[in-house]
Amino acid sequence: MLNVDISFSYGDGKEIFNHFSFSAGRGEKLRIIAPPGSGKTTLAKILTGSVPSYSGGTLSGNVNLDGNPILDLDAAHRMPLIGRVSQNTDEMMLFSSVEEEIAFPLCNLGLDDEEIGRRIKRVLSMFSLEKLEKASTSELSGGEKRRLMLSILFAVDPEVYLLDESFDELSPEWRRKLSCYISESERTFIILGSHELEEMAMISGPVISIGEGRAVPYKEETLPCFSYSKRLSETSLTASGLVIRRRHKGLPDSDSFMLSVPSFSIKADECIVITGDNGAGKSSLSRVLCGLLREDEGRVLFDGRNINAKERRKAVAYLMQNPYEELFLPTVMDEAKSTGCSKVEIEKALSLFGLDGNWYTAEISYGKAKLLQALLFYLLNRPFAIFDEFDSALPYSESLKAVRLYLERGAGVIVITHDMNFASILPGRHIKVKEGVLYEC
Amino acid sequence: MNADSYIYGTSFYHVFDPRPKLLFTLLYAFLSFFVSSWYGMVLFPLVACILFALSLGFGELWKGVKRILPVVILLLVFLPLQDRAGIALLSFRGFVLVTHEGWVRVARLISRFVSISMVLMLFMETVRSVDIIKTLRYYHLPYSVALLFSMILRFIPYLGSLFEDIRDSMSLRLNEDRNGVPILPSITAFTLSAVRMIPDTAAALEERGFGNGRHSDYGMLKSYKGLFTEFMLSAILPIIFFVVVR
Amino acid sequence: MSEKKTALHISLIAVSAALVAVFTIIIRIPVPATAGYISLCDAAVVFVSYAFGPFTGLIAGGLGSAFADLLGGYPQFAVISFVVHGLEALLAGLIVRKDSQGIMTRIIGALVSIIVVCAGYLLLEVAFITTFSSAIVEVPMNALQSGVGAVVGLLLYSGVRKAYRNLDAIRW
Repeated sequence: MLNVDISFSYGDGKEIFNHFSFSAGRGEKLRIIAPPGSGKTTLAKILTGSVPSYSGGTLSGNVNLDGNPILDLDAAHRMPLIGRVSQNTDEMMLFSSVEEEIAFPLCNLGLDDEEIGRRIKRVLSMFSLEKLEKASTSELSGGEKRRLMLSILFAVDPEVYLLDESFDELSPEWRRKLSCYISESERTFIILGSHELEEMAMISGPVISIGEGRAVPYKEETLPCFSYSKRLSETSLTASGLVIRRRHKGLPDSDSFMLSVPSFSIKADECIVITGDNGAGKSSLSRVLCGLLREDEGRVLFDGRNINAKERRKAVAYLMQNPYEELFLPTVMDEAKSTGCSKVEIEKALSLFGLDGNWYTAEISYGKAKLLQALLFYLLNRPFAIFDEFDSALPYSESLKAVRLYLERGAGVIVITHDMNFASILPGRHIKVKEGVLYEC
Repeated sequence: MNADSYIYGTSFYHVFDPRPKLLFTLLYAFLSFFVSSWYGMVLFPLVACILFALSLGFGELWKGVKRILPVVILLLVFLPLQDRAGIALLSFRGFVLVTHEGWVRVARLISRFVSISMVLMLFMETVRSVDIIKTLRYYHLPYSVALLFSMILRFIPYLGSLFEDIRDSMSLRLNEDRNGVPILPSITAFTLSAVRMIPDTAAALEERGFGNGRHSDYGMLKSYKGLFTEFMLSAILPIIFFVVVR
Repeated sequence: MSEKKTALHISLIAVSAALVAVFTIIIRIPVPATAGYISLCDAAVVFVSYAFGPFTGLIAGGLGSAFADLLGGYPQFAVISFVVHGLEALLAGLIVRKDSQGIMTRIIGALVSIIVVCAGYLLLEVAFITTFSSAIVEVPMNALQSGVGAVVGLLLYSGVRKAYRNLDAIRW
């Protein structure tokens, strides 16, 4: 039985939890579904012990697992009791090979060679990572990194599993598999997420939410309707006969990746949804369209005219999966000013996206960072924009708002997503990437 | 970017256990300092190059040689300035170009530099980074230092790709009239993201149980029949070679 | 030393050393006059020792440039780089303390960096690898590289410190 009752505020006085309390029985699967910035990641870090020891702030209250107080233990001693998969997978990647990564915590459990080898084998096969055992962690795709992080937690097998947005970057098939593993396990699970996913349906258990630092009952998110009046625009972005090849160093050539796009076209103020498995090449296509990656064959046309990489960068905005990679300046206001827009425009955009100019970019949550990323390209006003898995870590209403704002400004929007619920509300054509080919559904 | 200079291969030098191989490498490099005969000065680098070509092929050998060529050329270019007071070996219209002493000294330096470079490169290119660390562990490198090295090997390629991503995304955010990516803002942003990883990494180490007072080793290099012979050969062969050609 | 501190120190040195290595291998500024490049490795070395103190600088600066040499195909220079850049970081960090803001200290700090790098490579290369006359050719380029590095490192430090308010808390 896990009992939690905590209050926490960061060093700058920002209160995150005020007697946030919940409990989960042994083997129970509890879901906490709450908007970004409400403190899900902070909660996970408090339970595993990295907050407040590495972040500062004041923590009070208590956490009991089967009657034993957890908060008195330091992080290293909590490992067999409670462990987490972090939202940002790179944050917890420590070694250069997959094998070392899984073996490290097992060594710290004091297990013998044979047992460690057995556990590694078991989790590698659970998450289909056998081929990558000796691979370098720097060559893994987003989905593979997520599976590696999950496999580490399953190898350690603590009493309580904390999954922080762990369904992110997983394909629908892997999401279903993970849900299966969760419901079959006898351990206690706490699943933190921004919205209910279709694939979570098979996990039975209570659902709560966070409101004003307290536990509140979860209200099912109604799928918002999305409609906008389409103006007929003449500006278009077209790709024809594109072929993109990428070779993995250290893997045989037969495993290299290829995507072909026979023809693809989007008009400004049109919305297009692209879905497909991990590693299918959605991000590579995006990088070609916005001029960050060179195509091997084919052409990209803007209004019927061939455009080079430099022109593409000015024509197509790309909101990358990891928003922190696109933020560099100290405060939100510094970032906004770097776009060269007037003060009035900036103020207006800040209120549209619900952001505060005084926030420090290094300190805002993952979800807020995504909104800031959207705000910046909104101000830059490129004719086209690609949202790469923008919806993860944001409630539907927030992601839709951003898409709508772009469309209303007359931009053509390409939305890449793994979330079928989200895909179903968006207007416009749906396109799939399968077995290396992009085609219309 | 890859934090490994390892080049895949199946040659005898690839399968040679890294522990005696390290002994062989260091001994060979050390002995090359004491070679003084003309035979030795030619044979020491030559044998290293042949070993290199046999294990990695002539293409890789050429790549390695190209890397050390600038130093060798520089030594030769400045040969006339060396030991001007010595016995003339080559002169042009009465002006001494090369002295005997200068030539001997430069030849010895080149021989030593080529031998050391080739044998060290060969080691780095035939052993995976992970195995180099295991080898050092075998030679009693402390656990925390080995841990540190493994982590450095993880962060080099990660930070390398992070820098490339930052440069890319910066180029997407340039205003209409700007071209090229400004250096200072991009390296500041990059350094900032690297620094921000430090507390997260420390937290990750602890959450993975680092410092809970116990740890066992996994996948350490094991002893086997014949390892002792390999060690002996790694020590004896270079010494015999040295004694013969010295 | 408590275990918590050990975890932080290991992370600090690992990330800093990798930062130095990446600056050495990837980040290069073209020099139009010579049609060559200079690497910004000294900027990272100096940044690390300003931000995290002379001893972190010594270890991370030395290890970072040694790893760059080992992985970049120049293993024969790894030991020399370790000594030179480690010493550069140590002295830069000892001269420019966190609270000393004077412009003179910074100029002296930068000069010391340049001298350590030039003299260090010169002496160690002459001792083990090459002759004096050919080693002295490298001095102007080393001076330019470490001079630019010292200035950029300082700018980097003030830029990062402004954006990351917890910087001083990580310092060793």
